[in-house]
Amino acid sequence: MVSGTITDKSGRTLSGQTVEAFAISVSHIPLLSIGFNCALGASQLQPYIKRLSKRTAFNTSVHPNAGLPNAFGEYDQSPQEIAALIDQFLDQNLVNIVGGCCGTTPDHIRLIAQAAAKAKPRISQIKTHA
Amino acid sequence: MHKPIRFLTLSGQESLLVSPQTNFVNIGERTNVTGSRKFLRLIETGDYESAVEIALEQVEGGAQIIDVNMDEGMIDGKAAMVKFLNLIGAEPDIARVPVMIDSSKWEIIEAGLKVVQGKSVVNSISLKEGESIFIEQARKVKLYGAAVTVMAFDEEGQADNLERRIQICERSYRILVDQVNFPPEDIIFDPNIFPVATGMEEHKTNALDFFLATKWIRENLPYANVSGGVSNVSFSFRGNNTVREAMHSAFLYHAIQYGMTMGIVNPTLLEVYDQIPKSLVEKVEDVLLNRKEDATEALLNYAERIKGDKKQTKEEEKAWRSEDLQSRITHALVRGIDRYIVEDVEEARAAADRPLHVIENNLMQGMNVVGDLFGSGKMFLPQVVKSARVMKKAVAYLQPFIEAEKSGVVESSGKILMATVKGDVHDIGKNIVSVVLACNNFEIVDLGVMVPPEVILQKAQEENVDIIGLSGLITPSLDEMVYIAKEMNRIGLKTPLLIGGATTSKAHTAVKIAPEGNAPIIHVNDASRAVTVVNNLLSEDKNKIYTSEIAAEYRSFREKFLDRTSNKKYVDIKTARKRKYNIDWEGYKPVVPDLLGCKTIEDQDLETLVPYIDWSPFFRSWDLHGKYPNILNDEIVGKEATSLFIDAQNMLRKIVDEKWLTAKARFGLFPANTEDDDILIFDPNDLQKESCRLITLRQQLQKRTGQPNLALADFIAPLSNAVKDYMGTFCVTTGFGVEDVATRFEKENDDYNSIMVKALADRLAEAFAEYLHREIRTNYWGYAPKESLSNEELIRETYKGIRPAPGYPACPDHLEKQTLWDLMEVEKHIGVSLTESYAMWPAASVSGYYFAHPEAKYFGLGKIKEDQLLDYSKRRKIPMEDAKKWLSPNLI
Amino acid sequence: MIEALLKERILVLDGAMGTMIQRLEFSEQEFRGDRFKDHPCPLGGNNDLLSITQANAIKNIHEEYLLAGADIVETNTFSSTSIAMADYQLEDLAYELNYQSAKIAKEVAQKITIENPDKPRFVAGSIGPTNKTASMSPDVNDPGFRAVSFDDLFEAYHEQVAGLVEGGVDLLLVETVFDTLNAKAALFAIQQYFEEKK
Repeated sequence: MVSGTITDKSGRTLSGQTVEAFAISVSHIPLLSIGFNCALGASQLQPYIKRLSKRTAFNTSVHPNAGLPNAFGEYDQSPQEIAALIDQFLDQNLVNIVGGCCGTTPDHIRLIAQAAAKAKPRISQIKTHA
Repeated sequence: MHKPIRFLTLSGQESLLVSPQTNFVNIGERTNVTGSRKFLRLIETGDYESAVEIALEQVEGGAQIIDVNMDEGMIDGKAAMVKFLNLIGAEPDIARVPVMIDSSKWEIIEAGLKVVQGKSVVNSISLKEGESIFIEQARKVKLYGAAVTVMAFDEEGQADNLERRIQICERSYRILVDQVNFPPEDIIFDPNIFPVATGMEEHKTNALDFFLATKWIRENLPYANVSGGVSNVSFSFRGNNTVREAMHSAFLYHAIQYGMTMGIVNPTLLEVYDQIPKSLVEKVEDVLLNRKEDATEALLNYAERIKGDKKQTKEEEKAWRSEDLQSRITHALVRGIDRYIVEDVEEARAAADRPLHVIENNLMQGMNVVGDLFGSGKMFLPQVVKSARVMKKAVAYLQPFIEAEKSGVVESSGKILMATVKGDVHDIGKNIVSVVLACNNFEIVDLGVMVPPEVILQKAQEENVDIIGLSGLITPSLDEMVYIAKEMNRIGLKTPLLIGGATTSKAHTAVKIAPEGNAPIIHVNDASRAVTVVNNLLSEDKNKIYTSEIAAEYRSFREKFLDRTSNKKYVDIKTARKRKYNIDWEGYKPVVPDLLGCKTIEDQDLETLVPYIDWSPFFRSWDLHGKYPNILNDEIVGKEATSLFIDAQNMLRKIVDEKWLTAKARFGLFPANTEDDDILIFDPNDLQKESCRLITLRQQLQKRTGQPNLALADFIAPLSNAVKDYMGTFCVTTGFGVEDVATRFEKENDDYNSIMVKALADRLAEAFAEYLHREIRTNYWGYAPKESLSNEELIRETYKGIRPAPGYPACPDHLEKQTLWDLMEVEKHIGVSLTESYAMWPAASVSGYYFAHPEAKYFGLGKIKEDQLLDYSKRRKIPMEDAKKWLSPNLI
Repeated sequence: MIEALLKERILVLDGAMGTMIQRLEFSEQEFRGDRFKDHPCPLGGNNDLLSITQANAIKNIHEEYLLAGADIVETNTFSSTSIAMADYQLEDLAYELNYQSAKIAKEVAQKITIENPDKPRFVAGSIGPTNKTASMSPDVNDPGFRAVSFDDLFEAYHEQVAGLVEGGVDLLLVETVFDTLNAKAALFAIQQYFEEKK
């Protein structure tokens, strides 16, 4: 499994790669999944997960932070909020694996798991030779 | 079904897909110590900064991959490779493209692989030292996640005929795919490009053998790509660039047809195949294809003859840098090169008595040349805007010096106020005219968009401007312009007024605006005319004659126009309704939409919209007229159109990849039936409940017998009929984000790109409308689920159903937008708002209706009579006065 | 097995380890435990070390996540490379940290799986980016400089992967990739490790 991090709203990794370039650069081994985590909250990650989901034959994963840190460096997205956001990913069939990164707790995971139980897994639109 | 994706993909900081759509991938060859003496010298002397510049030039010149080679006995190849790759990795403009790590030494290749984050290409490995080393190296390449170039080379040496090429490539392929499990799409064969026309009999088939080997590989080794070092082929013509370039271009032209997918070339040194002189191309092809016994001889003779008139190469192009200062400044302005302008301006400043003189003398002298060339049709608008960019950079550099001197302002040729009128948000045209005028030394006071009339008049007086320019794109803006002319008359302001913008016309200006004012009022339909008009107006000698000429012209135009309109006959609204377009509703079964009610698209992927772009209007917005793609080869504007198109493509790539814009849509599908000319929209959840009424207008022109008087309502089944019909409404936008980007460019004095991003946003909005319409037809409504149309067919609108937009010919009433906004709660859901003139904000937005009936078609309303106006004011529940105002362009 | 499951349903990964550890408000002494009480530099905030010094607390966090419905828990090894541990003068401990973390996570996952065999639980070995980047220079004045090389990263990741796999993880998760070259070194190490084991 590989999970990248998009560091700001430019939509690139810290080392400057776009979503597509990142995916191409790590797809030379048969991964179980590829996705994004950390740095941004779920809502900011959505467009990038969409782009990734459309272009990769691997399973996709997302484990976002509980929103962006507030002025005190705390993450304050509630379990309900993050589960609702994850629900949107699931609704659009964008991901196969979901979870949480900085600021998430078992309460968050409980609601995310409930949302996941109801959803259908993403099936990649891309078929590979693998 | 989806075909398996097996195209080569590579990456730097951005991705590169090598598919049939990519056509041909250029690999830059100048960062190679074995091929470029200059690059070797820079590396040897440790001038890495200039070496990095060469890489940048390659990428800017169009290289999609850069080949890096450090194989030279005198340098530490491994250290140089690592250092150079690390340095270019820190330059985003270079690092965006993938790298080709080129060496004959495995240790240098491996050192390179350890410092690149993207998926690069190894160049090369081969069977030269036997299978086991080949396998080991291939296995490593795969672990590092790179693609590989395989040379047609084995234990016995380099393949020098067709059979050997085929045999070695096949053997290599089988080992890689079967034993190493190497992805076949990541294999690139280099079946050896060798020189031709060497005089040696055995070299005669070198190019042809390469072509045939390429063809064989592409047909027999699935998914593999073919590449090669193109410059080799012309080795025997060193020193004769004309022949070499022609050979390279012709070689590539044929090789690509045989299936070559990428090649190492100098992208800045390639002649366009079509532009090689016929006599030369024929001789070159005789050699390449080994068509004639004496082909080599003939080409050598030809080469000897043209040796004298050497053609302009990049090196020579750089010769302008050694010319005198004024020539350099003029050259930079005319060619739009901003690279050295600050340096040159500084030189001029140091020599001048006052910094102001640099603008007045050096820069204006250059801009005058630009003006002359533009005026005589030898330069085109996009070039002039690039010139302006250089000018602005130069002036921005001088500004602090001028201010430090506190010496006042530059003497301009005149001061011009520019504004997009109240209620209107469109400013591409206005900005272009501003730039062009600024280039011609006019001072521009740009008030921006949605400028209320009182502000325009107040500013015009405060700033004491010489001319006022008004712009607008939507029809209510026409009334604003009339109003301003009236107000100017009232307060006695006699400043000449220029009228421009997409909906304005000579007819409207002459008939509606000019009679209201007491100053010269002139319609300027394109930017290139603006300079002439303004010069005439401000010239003391010509002014009087010119304005009286214009006045006379407009007067006679007005008379003829009124004459013509009065000849047309109109029928009363009752009769017109009787002559409606009759659809056989009994024989029609409307398709029930799969989705009823409204839906929002929050963030449409921009990439999906790109194929739906209609490019012709894009060129029109830059005053380049012609149909895409033919315009790219147009005799007069082709070159400039191509250059503009390349810039547009590059920016479009960034817009998509870096997500500069956000595309949103709100649309709805509803039960609908008509009552006279109103369309009743019903609540999908409660069919008894009327959600709103769409008010359509009917043509009243008297037509030939049997020809209907159309209204959009004709395309929906009447309520009196039992047929339950449906229609849709939509609003799409790609405008969120445009302002930020445009402002950023403007801050950098880059109007060219500021205008470019707006023009592209407009195209994307239209593309989104086209895309969404297709989704509606095939999916959300689903009345044409099996439709499959090409993009050209979409642009020609060969599909079933229409999507007319309020404010356009079939339904010119802008007030309808408010109805759509209320019905779909557009602003609440996607944030697109309406100005007081019902322009959409952000400007790159499109809204309209969907009609699905196969007989529905676009038409123009034309003029309507007072009786329909009265009827309309009642239906709209607004005073007659207001109704008149909103429909004024359509009143007789 | 996990591939098959992914075709049937969405799998759930756990949440933050750091946030949960913060709540426990361990003191410097508790971070050190008995074993590192005389260690020459401060160890507070070295969350990964808790897999050794406060193993029960880490197990409890894993268990809480599993009971909340996570299918996969990540080992407490985000920073357990010799490169990142050098900040605490604990570079020699890298293999053990990974091995221990994997072992305790696996114990908990197995226990919960036995309680509810219909929902098998997995352990993913967390492989963080380290605190150095291989394709960017930390020094703006020297863009060609690199604070860490591919080979250094390869060594460190190879050791981490060995610890995780030998400690019993089911999966490896290279996460929070902000420099793709670091990730490529990790992937290289993973492939190399499995080839050596063949």
